[in-house]
Amino acid sequence: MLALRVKTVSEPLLSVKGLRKFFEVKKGFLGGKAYLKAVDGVDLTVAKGEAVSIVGESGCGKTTLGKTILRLYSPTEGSIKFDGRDVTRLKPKELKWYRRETGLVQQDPFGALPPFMTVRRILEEPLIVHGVKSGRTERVRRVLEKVRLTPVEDFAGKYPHMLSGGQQQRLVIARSIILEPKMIIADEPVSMLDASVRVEILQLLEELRKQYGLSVIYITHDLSTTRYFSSRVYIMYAGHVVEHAETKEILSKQMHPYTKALISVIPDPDPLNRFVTRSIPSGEPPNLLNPPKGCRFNPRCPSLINGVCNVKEPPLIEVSKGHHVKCWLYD
Amino acid sequence: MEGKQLSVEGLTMYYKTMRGEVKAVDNVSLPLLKGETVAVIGESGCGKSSLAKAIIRLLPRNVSVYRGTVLLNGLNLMELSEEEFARKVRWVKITYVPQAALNSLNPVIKVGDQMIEPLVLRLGIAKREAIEKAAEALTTVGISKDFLNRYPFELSGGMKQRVIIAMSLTLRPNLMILDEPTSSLDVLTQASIMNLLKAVKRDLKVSMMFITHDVSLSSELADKVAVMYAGQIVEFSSADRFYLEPKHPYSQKLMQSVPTLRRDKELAYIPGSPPSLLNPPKGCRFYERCSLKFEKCEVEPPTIPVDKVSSVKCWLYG
Repeated sequence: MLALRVKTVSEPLLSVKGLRKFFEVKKGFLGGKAYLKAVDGVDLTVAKGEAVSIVGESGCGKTTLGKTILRLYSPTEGSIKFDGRDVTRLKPKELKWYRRETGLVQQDPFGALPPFMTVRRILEEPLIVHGVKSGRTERVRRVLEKVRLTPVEDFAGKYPHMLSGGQQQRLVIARSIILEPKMIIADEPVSMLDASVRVEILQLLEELRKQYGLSVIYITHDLSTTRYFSSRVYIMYAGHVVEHAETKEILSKQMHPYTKALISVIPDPDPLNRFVTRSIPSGEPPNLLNPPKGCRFNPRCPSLINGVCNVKEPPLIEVSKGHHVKCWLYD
Repeated sequence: MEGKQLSVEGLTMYYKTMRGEVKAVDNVSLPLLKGETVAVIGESGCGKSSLAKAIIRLLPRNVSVYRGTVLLNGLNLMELSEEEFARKVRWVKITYVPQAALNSLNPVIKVGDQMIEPLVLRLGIAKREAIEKAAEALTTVGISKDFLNRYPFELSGGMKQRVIIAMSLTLRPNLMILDEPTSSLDVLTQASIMNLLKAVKRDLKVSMMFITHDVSLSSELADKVAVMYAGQIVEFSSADRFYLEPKHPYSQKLMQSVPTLRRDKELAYIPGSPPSLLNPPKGCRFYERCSLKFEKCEVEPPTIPVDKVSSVKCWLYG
C-alpha cells in the first residue's frame, strides 16, 4: 500500500531565518557603543532525524549560532521556528518546554560535569528540574544503557573524575538526551578526545540519531569528520553562512573560495604530504566589530572581483539543487 | 655513525607518585638522521611528551628512574653534568617547544626582549649580537624584524607560534623538539605553520622530532614515524611505508580511526582504553585490545626489524 501514500512536504523540525545575534561592546571611555556581529543573517533548516554540520574556524560565530538556536542567547533579529512553534521570543516560563525538547553537548566534557555529583545525580538533575517525579531511577538506567555506560551499577555511583574522557563525553550525551529531546546541538563534542575515542563518540551520536530519530546539529572546525557524520554542511565565515550543500557535494564540488581553501589544507594521511607547500589565503578573519564592506572574505580572497566583491555583499545563490553559495563568482 | 644526528637507546624514565611508579618512558630506542623529521604519534597519556622531556632533560621532581643513552652527534648527553647540559645542549643544540608554548609569551614584555633573554642571561651572549640573532630568526619565520619592538598581545595566535619557532631557531640548533605545535590553532593557521616548518626543515636542514596525536597532520612533516603506546615505541617506520601499510595491530587500528576527507573508508575505533602506566601488563601492552593476539603475546615481544629502517614490537612478525 506504500504507493498510495501521498508524500507530504513536511515542515523541517528547525527552521531559522535571518538570524542575527549582536553583542554590545563598550567603546572607548565615554561610553560609546559598538556591536560585535557574531551571527549576521543566518538561514538554516534541520529535518527530523537529520544530522547537519556547522563548520568554521574559531570566532566565525558557529558557537554563538548554536547557543542562539537553543535560546541560551536571545536573538537580536530573525526568527527560529521549532516543531511548528515560533521560539524566537519565548518567555522564560514557556522556554522550559523548549529546553525539554532540545539538548546541548559541550566541548570539554570534564568542564561540563559538576565534579561533586555522582553519575546518577547528574542524570537525575534535569528530571528534577523538569518535575519528573516517577520512574527516575528507571530512566537513568535506560539512558546509561543507550550511551553504553554499562554495567549501569558500576557507573551510577561514580564521580566524573573517575571516568575516562570518552566515558565523560558519553555521560554528557546521556544528560543531553535524558528528557528525550527532538534535537541536540553538539558543539565540538570530540575535539578534546583522541582519534579512536572520537570515532567512538561520533558513532554513538549516529546511532542515537538513527534509532530515536534525533536531529543533531554538529558544530565543528574539523571538516574531515563531517563526511562520516552529517548529511549536510553549512560553512560559516565571519558571522555568515558562505556555502551550504550536501556533505558529499561540499567535499567534492565546493565552490566558495573560502571553502576551497579550508578543504585544500586538510591533510589525509599520505607520505607525499611532506613535499607539498599548501597555498593559504593571506591575512586573518576580520574583526566582527567592523567587518569589511561587501563579501567578508574579500580582503583574503584569491578570486576577488575588484569593484564588486568589496562593494556589495553577495546574496546566497542556489547554484544547483540544495547547493547554495554566497559569492559573486556564481552570480 | 655517518649521518646520524640523534640516537636514543634504552631511554627510560619513571615517576614516583603516591599510587606507585608511573612508567612513562620505558626502554625507548630511536634513531634520527641529519635533517630528518621523526613524528612521534600516539594517544594522550602514551608518553610522547615525557619522551621529549627525557631527551631534553627537563625532568619532573618526582622522577625515580632515569637511564639509557642519548647520543647527539656521537656525544652521550647522559654523561654530561647538569651544568654542562644547560650550557652546551639545551637551547643550543636541542630546542624544545612545549605544548601551547605560544601562551607562555609574556604579553607585556616586548617580543625582542623575550627572544634575547635566554641568550643574554643564560648563555652570556652580548646584547647587540643577541638582538641581531633574534632579528635574523624572526625573518626566517616570515615576520618582519620590526616586530622585535612589539608586544605579544598585539600578535595573533599564528604569529605568536611563529615567534616561538623563531626563538627555538635563534642559535641554529641541530634538533628541534616540537610538542603539538599547532594544537590550539585554527585550520588555516595550522596549515601556514606547517608550511613554515617544512621550509625550515628544507632550508636549514634542522632535524625535528614532531610530537602529535593527529595522524593526518603528522604526515605533513614526517620522514620517519614512531608510534608510541603505553610508554613504549611499538612501531618505527619510514613515512613512505607507514602511512600506506602500518604493521603493528595498534598502528593499523589507529589508522582506521582517522577520518579521511577525500576517500570513503570504514571508520572504526579501538575498543577499551590503554593500560595504566602504573602497572602495565607483563606481556605485550596492547594485548587486552588486540584482535590478533595469540599465546605468545603474554610474553613481552622484542623489537623485531622488518626491513632496513622499520621495526615492530609485535610477535606477529617474530
